[in-house]
Amino acid sequence: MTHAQARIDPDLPEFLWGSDSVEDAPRSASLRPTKTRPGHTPGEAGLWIFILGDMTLFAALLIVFLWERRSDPVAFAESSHQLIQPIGAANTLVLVVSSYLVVRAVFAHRGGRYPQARRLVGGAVSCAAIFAGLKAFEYYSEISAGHTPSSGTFFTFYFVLTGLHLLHVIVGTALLLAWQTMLTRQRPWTESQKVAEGIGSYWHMVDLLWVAIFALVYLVSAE
Amino acid sequence: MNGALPRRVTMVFAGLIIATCITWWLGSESKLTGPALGMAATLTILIAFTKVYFIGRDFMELRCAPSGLRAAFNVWVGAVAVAAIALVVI
Repeated sequence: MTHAQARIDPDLPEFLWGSDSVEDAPRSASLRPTKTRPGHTPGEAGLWIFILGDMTLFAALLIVFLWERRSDPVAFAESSHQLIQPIGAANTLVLVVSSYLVVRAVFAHRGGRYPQARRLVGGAVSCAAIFAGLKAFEYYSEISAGHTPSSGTFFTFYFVLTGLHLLHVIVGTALLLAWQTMLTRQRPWTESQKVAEGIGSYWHMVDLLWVAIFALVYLVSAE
Repeated sequence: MNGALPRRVTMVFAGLIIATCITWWLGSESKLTGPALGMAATLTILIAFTKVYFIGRDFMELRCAPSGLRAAFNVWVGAVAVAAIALVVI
């Protein structure tokens, strides 16, 4: 297998192949050591278009949020101080734990350890429920204190960003439950690899988006 | 791709928990002023996007993914981190 062939994954759209094109394969192969591993795309290739697109949408919202912050950092800092930071931090830890449980569930499913994988996915679903519960309490506290989406630019962004993210958590939870059903039926890894890895990747995206939201909205804005 | 969980994944998990506690402490340190505040904000963003990078690399298993997909993810992480630091600090 040549170096260039190793970078081409037929499951992925062409623009996500390696940087070497087929045309310059001989030159690349002669200049660099041969790579024997073809590269494994976790889940369906099409899902990655969605994941990267979704991540870019959130990135655009966060960049606009930080841009708006520049025009009135004092008001943003005051508003950010109204958020319940310990809840944001607890939710970050809860999602990191859930992500770890999902990774372990993928490996357990790969190894054919269905009961263990089912318990691990169940743990991740419980984490999602804790996240949603804490978020609901946070929304209740903010709205009770008079902070609504119309209370200023900061709170508009806060509710849009966290609301969109919560929607992703709900969708991710439904996907985790679907995976758990597959595990209950003991569908072998060869038949469910793409779906299981896809659900796992989606859940990790939910986790990493929250890491960015917590850092920029709860922490940096308050400084 | 077998069913054995690599030790590295658990190490990354432990690192993510520790990094979350550090960023929270940095973000809640309200006594900071001037350049120290800017440094704390930069550090908070850097740690957060390092966490994002490791979630992608080891949890999403992008370390084994085709180079194009890996590069697309890494560019996203780098570009958003640089933009965030520029907008917050400069």
